[in-house]
Amino acid sequence: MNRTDGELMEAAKSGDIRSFDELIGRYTDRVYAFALRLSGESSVAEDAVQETFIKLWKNRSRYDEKRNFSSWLFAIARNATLDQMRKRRDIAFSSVFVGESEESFGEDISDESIAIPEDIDRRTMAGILEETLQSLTPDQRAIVLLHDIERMTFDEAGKALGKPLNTVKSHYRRAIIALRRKLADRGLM
Amino acid sequence: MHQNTGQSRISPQSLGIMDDRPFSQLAVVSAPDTLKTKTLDRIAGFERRACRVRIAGWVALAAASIGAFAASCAYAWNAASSSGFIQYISLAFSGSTAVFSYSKDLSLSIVESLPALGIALILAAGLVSAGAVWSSVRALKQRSRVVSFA
Repeated sequence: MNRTDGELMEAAKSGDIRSFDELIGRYTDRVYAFALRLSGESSVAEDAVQETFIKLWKNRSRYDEKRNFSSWLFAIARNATLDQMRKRRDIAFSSVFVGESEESFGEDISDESIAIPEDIDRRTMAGILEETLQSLTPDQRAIVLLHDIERMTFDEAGKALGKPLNTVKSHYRRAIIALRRKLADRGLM
Repeated sequence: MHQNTGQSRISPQSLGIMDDRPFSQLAVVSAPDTLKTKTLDRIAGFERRACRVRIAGWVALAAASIGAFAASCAYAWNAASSSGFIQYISLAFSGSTAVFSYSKDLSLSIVESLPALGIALILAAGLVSAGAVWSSVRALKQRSRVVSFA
């Protein structure tokens, strides 16, 4: 019988390493993909995955079953990835994470959806999406990945990243605008 | 939405279905095969280090509490000797009739002369040392479970 993430985590709380191993198996690829796209470096992503699960193991007693497990996990993964990026690049990240005010976001978009051209092949589209993603700030990237890849709601993504809902939506809209521009630059919109 | 231009090869009408999660079309990424093993190895390493620290702490506590246990036994013995408690006990062994005859006096005397502080110290030190030994064993078991699995 397939146990839920919460059930596995509850078992891990009492020291059951097999349950924790099952969680690692479930989430390694997802956390790796998230960290890789957030950092753009596979070595950073590998270290971030290890740090994420070690932090999860160390803090397993603090897990609250009412809390969404994947939101918690990706919050840890995001922090672990940024820590690894800081260590390697030794740059002041504060400038990257200074949120632009909501007022500065003048472009009006009625919704967050976008029409993807039908005749564009998947590889080209994936390339445009990767390019767009890398043009965003780490916070914007994290929100896009949690919303689109991890299928979180804006509210869940906000809780995972500790951001207000409006900021999350604003960041996501910027990503959509960037994507539309990339598509337009290639004459696809 | 941007208007279609002359250079565009797709008209707005030919655009596909509205996608509310467009980045879900990103290529699937898989982690390196060795990553899960590396992660488990690091968890095992963390457990080994944490266990070493825990065991060192518990062993130090066990040694200190065993020392305290011995000291409190000596204190209790001295207190019992000087209070006359030992003499009452030896009276009990001298004959059963004396115990029954003087049982009331004996029990009152025992309560009055009981070296309570010594007994309490023995109990406290004994409990702490037993707890420390039990915790050391538990930490060792937990460590071996994680390390052997990894």
